[in-house]
Amino acid sequence: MLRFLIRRLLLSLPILVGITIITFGIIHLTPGGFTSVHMDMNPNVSPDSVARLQALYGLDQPVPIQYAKWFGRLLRLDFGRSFLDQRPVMEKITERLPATLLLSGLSLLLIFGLAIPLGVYAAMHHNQRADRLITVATFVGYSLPTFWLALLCMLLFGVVLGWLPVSGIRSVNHDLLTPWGKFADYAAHLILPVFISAFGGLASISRYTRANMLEVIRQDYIRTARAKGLPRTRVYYLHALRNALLPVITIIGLALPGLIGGSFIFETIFSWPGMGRLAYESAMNFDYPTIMGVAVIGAGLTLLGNILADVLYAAADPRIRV
Amino acid sequence: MICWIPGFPKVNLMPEAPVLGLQDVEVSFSGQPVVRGAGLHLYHGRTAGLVGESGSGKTMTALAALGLVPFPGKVSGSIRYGGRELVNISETEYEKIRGAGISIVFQDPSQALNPVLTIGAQLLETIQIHRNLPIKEANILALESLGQLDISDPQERLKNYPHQLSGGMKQRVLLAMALVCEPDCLILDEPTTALDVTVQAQMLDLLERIQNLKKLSILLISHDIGIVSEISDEINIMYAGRIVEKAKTAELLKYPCHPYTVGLLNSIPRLGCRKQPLLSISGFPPNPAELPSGCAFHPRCPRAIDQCRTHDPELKAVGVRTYACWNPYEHD
Amino acid sequence: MKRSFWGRFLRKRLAVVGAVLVMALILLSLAAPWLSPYDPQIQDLNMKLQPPSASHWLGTDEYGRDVLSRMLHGGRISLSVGLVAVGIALVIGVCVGAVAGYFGGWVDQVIMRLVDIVLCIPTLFLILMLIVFLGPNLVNIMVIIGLTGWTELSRLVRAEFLTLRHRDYVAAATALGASHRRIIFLHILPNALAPVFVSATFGIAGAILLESGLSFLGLGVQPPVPSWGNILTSGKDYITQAWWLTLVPGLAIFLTVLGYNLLGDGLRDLLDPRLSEGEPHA
Repeated sequence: MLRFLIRRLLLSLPILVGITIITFGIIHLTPGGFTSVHMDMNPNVSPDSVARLQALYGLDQPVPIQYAKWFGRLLRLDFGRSFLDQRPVMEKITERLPATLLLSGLSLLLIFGLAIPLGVYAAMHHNQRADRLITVATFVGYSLPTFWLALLCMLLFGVVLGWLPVSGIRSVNHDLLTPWGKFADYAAHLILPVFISAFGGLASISRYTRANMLEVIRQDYIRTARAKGLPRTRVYYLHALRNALLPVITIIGLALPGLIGGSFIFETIFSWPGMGRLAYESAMNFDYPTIMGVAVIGAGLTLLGNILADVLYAAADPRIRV
Repeated sequence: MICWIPGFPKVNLMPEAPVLGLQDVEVSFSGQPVVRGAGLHLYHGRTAGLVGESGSGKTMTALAALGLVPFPGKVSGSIRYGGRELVNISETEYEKIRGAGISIVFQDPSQALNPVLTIGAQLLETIQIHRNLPIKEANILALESLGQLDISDPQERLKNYPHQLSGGMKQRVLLAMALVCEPDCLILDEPTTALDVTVQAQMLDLLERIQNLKKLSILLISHDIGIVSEISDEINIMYAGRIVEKAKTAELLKYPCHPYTVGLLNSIPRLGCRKQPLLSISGFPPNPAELPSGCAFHPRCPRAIDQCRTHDPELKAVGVRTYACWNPYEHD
Repeated sequence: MKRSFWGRFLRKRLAVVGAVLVMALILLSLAAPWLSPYDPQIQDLNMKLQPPSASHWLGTDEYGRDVLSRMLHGGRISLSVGLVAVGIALVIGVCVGAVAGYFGGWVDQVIMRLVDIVLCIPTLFLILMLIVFLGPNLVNIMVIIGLTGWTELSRLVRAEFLTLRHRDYVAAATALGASHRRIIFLHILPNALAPVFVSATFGIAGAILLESGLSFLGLGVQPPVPSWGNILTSGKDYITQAWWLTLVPGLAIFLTVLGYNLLGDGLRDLLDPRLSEGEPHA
């Protein structure tokens, strides 16, 4: 197991390097850029000072050299400083990461906690009314534009009913609250973002679980289990589900990049102070060091997620030895 | 005397009452019958064979006996087990009988064990679902049942996963699982088809030994009349969802009446007659949705007469023999 | 019991609903110039934020433009983003997957490792960067969505090719001296198209959803060119006074995506025999 882990970690290093090269290339080989955004519109900036600024950030050097320098610093875990506010990128990321992990973690929990039983239930009632209802609901679920749903929910729960806060992670008066009040405040801010970001995944994972279950319950060993006198629920939830979940485990790994890197739509809508919004803000401002930092951390988490999925898979399927 | 204790379906019988009796059993899927009025009787300590080509409804008959016909299939007729009618009893009632009263081993052992659970887990859950035993005693029972089937190193086997066992070994584990709760009926669906020839012979020996030991009633299902005739007391021939001939084994082998039986017997390769062409029946069994008129076998039958094309013969006792045919082979 | 393809298709009610939705939206978009009651760009500040009425069926927006006309024209944009983006993804995905699966060996290894790398970059993040750096115009958006959407397809095509390349007819074609290109495109590809087709249908749904999401962040097709995404985005500021500006485009996106998803699912059930054969045992 340990050898497998080490091998996988070593194998993901070149992938990580590849990702940084692609990201770096996109940033530096495309027209436009940091200085043009911040200077072109400003009549007080002379071409001379633009050049000086570019030299200051090393932007006047050839791209491969810039990359080599950046990579050299990365090896010392130095992501550089943000162009925007001169703060270390590492610091900016570490203060944003917990909010994103909290949001993604809770949505993942919600997705798997709800989607799997729903998928199993639908498969148990294959082609009956409950199954048809769940099928239609899942199609609606993954066809709804989530930002639109978010908008409608914010309007309903935030504005019309006034039950839930619609933006940020805490209220203005958060620091004045009791510990219990702080917890409740966080929870209230989490409800809408978690539900909305789980929504699409909920539909697709439950559909996927249902399809896997339907395939598994055609297997001979399910018939054997029934013929031994086991009740239907035990056969479904123990014998069939364990087999049907194997492919779902892989999906967890694949869902991670979406939840971590793709969260910027939700984070922007709900003004959630996470990595997604950091990525959005830094891209909009051509803040190269921060973009690169976010890309490295995001890709790193994704690769870790894939390895985790492999390990879980190996643990769940005795036929695979690592 | 028949005595029934719920949850412990052990049945004591007067000598000649069948342990399991199927009468006019019909299985149909959306109106199309797959099994068309099958009748079968299993007696204490004896073996009945059910022979037919694949798709003739053998497995579906077995599933009907266990109440395992898949949705949307419908079962009608009468299935009596220990004097109790099983058609339309509740699912929970049936669960008490499956594995403890009537057991089955399906064909293809390589697919019949759950790949993600250990042999021990699958064996122990069978014991625990039917008997309220402490885990230690259940464990002992599991070890015993594996040992009884000549499985080496049973302690180790309990910890194994199915993929770590050979095909023959899996078959024995499945048998152990079927027998661990001491059922009185055992259905074997093509128990030897997936095994190679040497293992087949061992398996048949093992079955006979277990049967004598436990006084089991066995229903042996196979397409191979040769294998079935080796251990069966009585043979039923099935074609297109219907029993077309039934007789004591010796009698059937010597004096087959139905042309289909003759065809099946001719298809057994005989040792020493290798040069003789393998005589078998031409054509294929019919699709249940497009049964021919009259006798379902007539398009393939060498002895078909006009009546066969228009009228479906019923299974009838004619003299000492029982068959469904208008123009059977006659023996004096 | 074998029914014709169309017979089986018509038996799937949801798939038929999907096909009808897709067809209806395509027809409406094609006919937009003739169906639109007004010019989608004409502003009439006297008619600002009018609720739906007999003269403006779906009301007007904050510049007094007719929402129905803008929706019809926006549909053309949204649908063409979906089609072109998926077309690009299809070409890249099929070529990459075909080469990897057909040649196998180290070619396959190298290509698939590269695909792994691309897969590990969160797609949305990649799209965000590309759009910010290249600029959000219609062509860029189509190309970028296409360029980032081919990985799944290439894996699918590769898997098909890996199994199909050992078939007898491929061996026969090779023996007759057909070129690799001819074998890939003429002999194998047609047999691998069913899953590709299904995946492309889902892909169109995804691309439309993605474009509208990007528009929502101001990174989609830019106003005044109408797209469903940007009608919704500019409408959301008036959500409390003019609900139709949020509701109508949202519903349109939803119904289109739903249509493609239902259609794709129905096609998959029909074309993928694994899912439609046999009965469950329990």
